[in-house]
Amino acid sequence: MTLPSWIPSSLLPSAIWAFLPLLLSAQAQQGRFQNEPWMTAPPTSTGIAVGQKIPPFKAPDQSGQVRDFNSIRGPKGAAIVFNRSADW
Amino acid sequence: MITYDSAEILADFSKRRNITLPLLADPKSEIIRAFGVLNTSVPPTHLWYGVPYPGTFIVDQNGVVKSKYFEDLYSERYSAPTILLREFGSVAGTRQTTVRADHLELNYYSTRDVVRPGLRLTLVADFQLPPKMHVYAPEVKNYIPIRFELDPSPNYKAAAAEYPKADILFLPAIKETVPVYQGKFRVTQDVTAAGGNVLQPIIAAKGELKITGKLRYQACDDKICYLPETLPLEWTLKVEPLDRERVPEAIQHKPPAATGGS
Repeated sequence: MTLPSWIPSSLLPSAIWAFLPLLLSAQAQQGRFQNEPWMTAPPTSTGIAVGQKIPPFKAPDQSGQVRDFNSIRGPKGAAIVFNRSADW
Repeated sequence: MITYDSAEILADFSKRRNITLPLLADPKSEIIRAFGVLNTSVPPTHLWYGVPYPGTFIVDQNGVVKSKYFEDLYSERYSAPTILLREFGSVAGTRQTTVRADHLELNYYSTRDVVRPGLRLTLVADFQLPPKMHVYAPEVKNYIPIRFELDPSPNYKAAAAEYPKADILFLPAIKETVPVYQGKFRVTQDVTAAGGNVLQPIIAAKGELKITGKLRYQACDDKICYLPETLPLEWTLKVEPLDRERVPEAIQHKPPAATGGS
């Protein structure tokens, strides 16, 4: 596995944000649609508040393996990144 | 990372970009809703229906949210090194510029050397003052405070500079108490690269984005205040275009109306 040098090795197990810069490249594109006012509306909610516990979740990853919080967290926890899409 | 994509889309994307860390498929937006980040502005019949507001939750090992990072504009994103810097105080691997000026040493860098449109990065300036030397914090009255200032440009948007908490210093010579910085301290400023096509001419040319600014300060020790100084600052970043490559048409998202909704 090749990782950018700025990721501390201690974060590796939980560094699911490592590919955030790569994903940026796949989004923020709206060329296929006309601009609509709602497209640039700021968030009405940024979800779970600081200090609250995240809900349990379970979903397949890119290899089809079902993952939950226990399977992605590292010793310090995890960075959970929500992105619009990997195909835009 | 969680998106409203199918596992097939994520498989194609991660293979193309050589990503091995987990990307989770939430095509019915169930996790997105459970976290409370469904983009409610998208009309239910639109292809984008089900996308989240993009953002990052930093969660401890018990699943409790420690902090979160969201932007107002969907096309703007915090870059991972900016989040690492905020959470852990350090980020390695980018080019640094060292300035040894009169009365202080300055190391400055950007958390990213390569940017894309809409990306938010952090400019960092680490200072080291010799013993007994101080500079004045921004809230000082009647003295020249340290000031980190970027030149305005259509190519980027600068947030306010962030200064650390000042030390309170008593100066016996003038019997005054003043807010100062001494020893080691850090000033940061977030910058978001322009979105849309603003950076296109730069990408089409050398791909170099220059951010310029200056640092103004007055250094004093326990006896003397020296003349105010202004140091020029410059960061040169490489700009890359957004990746517009798509997954094969057969596995692309279909509008909810065409699939009976989701």
